[in-house]
Amino acid sequence: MKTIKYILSSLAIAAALTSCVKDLNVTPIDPNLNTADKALTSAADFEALLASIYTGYATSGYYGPNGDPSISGLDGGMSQYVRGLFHLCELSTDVYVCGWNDEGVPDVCKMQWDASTGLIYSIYSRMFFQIAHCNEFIREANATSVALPNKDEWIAEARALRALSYYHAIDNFGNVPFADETSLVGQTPRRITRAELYTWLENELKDIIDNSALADRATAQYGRINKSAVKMILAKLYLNAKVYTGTADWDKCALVLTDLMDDGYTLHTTPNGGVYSAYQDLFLADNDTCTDEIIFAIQQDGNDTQSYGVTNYLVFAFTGGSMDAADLGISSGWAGCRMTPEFYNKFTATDDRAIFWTAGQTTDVADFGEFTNGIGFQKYKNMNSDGTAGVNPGFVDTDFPMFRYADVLLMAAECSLHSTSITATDGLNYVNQIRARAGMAPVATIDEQAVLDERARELYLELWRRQDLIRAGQFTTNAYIWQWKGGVHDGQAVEDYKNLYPIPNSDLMVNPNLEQNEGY
Amino acid sequence: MTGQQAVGGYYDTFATFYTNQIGSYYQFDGTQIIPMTAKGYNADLKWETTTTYNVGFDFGFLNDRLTGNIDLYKRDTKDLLSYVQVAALSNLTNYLNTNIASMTNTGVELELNGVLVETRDMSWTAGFNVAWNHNEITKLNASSKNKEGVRTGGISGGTDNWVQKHDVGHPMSAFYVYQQVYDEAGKPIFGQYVDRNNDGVVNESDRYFYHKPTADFTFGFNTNFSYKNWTAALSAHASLGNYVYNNVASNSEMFKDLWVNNFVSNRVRSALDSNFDDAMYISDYYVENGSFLKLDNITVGYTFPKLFSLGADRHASLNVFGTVQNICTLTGYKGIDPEVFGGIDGTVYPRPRTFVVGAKLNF
Repeated sequence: MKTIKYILSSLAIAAALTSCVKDLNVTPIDPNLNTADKALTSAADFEALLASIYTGYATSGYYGPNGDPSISGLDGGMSQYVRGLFHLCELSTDVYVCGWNDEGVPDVCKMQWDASTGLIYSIYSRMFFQIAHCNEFIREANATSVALPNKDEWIAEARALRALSYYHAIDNFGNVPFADETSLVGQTPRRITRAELYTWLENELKDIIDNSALADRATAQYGRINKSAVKMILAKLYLNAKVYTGTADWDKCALVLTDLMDDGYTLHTTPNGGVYSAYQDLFLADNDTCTDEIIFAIQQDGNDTQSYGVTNYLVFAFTGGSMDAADLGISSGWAGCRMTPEFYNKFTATDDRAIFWTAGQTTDVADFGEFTNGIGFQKYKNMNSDGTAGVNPGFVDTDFPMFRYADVLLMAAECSLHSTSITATDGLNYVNQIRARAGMAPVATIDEQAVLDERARELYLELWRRQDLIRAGQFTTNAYIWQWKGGVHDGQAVEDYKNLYPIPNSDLMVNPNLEQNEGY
Repeated sequence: MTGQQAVGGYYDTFATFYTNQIGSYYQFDGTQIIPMTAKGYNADLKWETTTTYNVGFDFGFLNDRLTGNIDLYKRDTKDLLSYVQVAALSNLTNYLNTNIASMTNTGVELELNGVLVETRDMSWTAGFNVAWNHNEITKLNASSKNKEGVRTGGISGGTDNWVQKHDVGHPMSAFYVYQQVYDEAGKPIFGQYVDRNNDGVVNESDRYFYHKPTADFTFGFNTNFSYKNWTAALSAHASLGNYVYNNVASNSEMFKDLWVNNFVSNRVRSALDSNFDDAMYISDYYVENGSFLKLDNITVGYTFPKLFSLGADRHASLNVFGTVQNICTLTGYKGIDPEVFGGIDGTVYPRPRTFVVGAKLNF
């Protein structure tokens, strides 16, 4: 009898344990959430996974502009990828100041950031979020037994997007964490130096251009990265080679650009509608039609692809004062960003690219926090080229032109000053083509400062200003001072180590492989 | 040893894929694609465990008219679960539920219950308890290089503003803020924080640990009195050494926003004290001592034992009573209610004071 009792009780315990184990073997019941065996069962599923990398650049998360941001611990809008790049690459420069008191915004604007600035961490984590998701796609696509007709092309596409984010990382942070598709989820990445990453990127980009199945301009779909965009990344790498490695590479830069010039892109010189100029067309709600000039764009759609970053930021945050929001196709502005007088003074009134708002604005930024101090921008609009507004006054349709042909010409002009691979005559001609479209008289000669200023006028609010100033030795130094540089009204030089952003302290803490950049 | 399982999401430990919702779609050549995003996961996630050591005495004096107990404890919590930052590029997200730290709670609790009067007509009892607790993070699981702790305590106002941090040697969620500069009259000066590390600029490195949300001492008191058919009861509780970040004030004192888009916005009255032109979210000015004494409840009742007859030896009785809840709060805290879980007060609605008058009929 006693034995039977023991047997019964052990059975009872065994039963209890079994059920407990099964209870923990849960699978999601949310219809939008699936495990890999159910989620990735067709080529369309893999295309959807690939598309999520693009939304990583275009939105803040899985659900509209701010709901459920894919990056946590940070405001979804503020931490959006392209908006984060704007903080690093333009807010820090002479192009604009932003009067908001949000964490890190004044620090970055006044070049007083340090390794604890949350705003810097937010774009840092965005970059590596993108790279991690590119790695994930390559891993899943390589491993799957699902038939993928475009497998090689898609893997090349994920590699190209990964290279784009590594390019942003080498430019802004230098010595960064590194992992490719061979590492596993949960594995702490190793550190790569700026020079090592340069070599890795050069090889990777050349391999994608020469050996991969990535679509070229003729076959690529709009909104997807193509071989011309990859050449653009490689050209940017070479353009800044001296900054990244200590050794310039002008010849290689000139050769890639010459190659890119054969891909069929041209300057967009004929206006789409009668309302705006050809230059202005490039920054309108229907700029997806400007495929003659735009090489790669991050898309926005008023209903389907929304964010508080990208061009939405470039329209809303720059609208305020006496501007009529309806002229820009939006409901109302956020009244944050205006230009410094030094930047304003680079333009003459007849320049078609001076898409500014002066009514009620002072040139002087006497009060950093006051929107009416500093001339306003209206470069980006949620208006179509026929004068009608975008579909949604709350979110713009305007795509962000990440790479466009005018930049190719200006880079080629810069190369002509340093390399014989592009003649001086061609270089001058490229600058004058750009000026002609803007309604400006041709110049007779160009030098480094002339190209730098032409780049400022042509490419402001397109993420190039910081690296252009660094290349010219004017970002941190006394060579060029603008209002509020260094935190004072009249401007002052800052420490040279600020040519690189710090590795965020919070990441140094969780990744022992990393080292802080010099000076921080 | 006990565990804690009610933390985190349901699917934190394995790979899942999420179908993007409207607003996060993308177009390939004008064709709508509904993207599917890989989500982060932590395959190494463990349960949080707590080991408790305690010694207690129960005692009674004067024929148990005075009883009580004293309890000394030390609770070591290992693999404390928290939703924290993970190394960039190590995962498909930047934050995960992770076993972050070890923490120790040490404390003493004393409870006393006394029968003050016990006669045929009258009874009066009283209870009192006091507890002291000390909380400290003893270890962070992540690497210790260039240690900066784990940020927490996101607040309303601006974006990405946070005011608390977990760090070794400090209490959990200690406030981590800038030190406000005051003028000679004791008024805070707008836009000025102390450059604590004397490097010439005021930036995030000048923040410092300043108090914590949990109390050092908590007290409870209750008493019951009855005389013949009358009853009365009172209860109160108090807290000492708890601090509160006054998010209501910090987010609505700036005069700059008084006039926005041609509308007058509401500002709190304390704006006249701070006189800030713009928000000073991270100032220790807004970390206020939240110590308080609360009178929670007073009840007075009277019982009619023999209201009417229900037959032999059986009577219906009636009890009428009046209760007031949330009677008063004595505190120096400037917000509405210093009793805030987590230490960040964003409440603009006061807790109601409730008056209840009742009658209970017993058959």
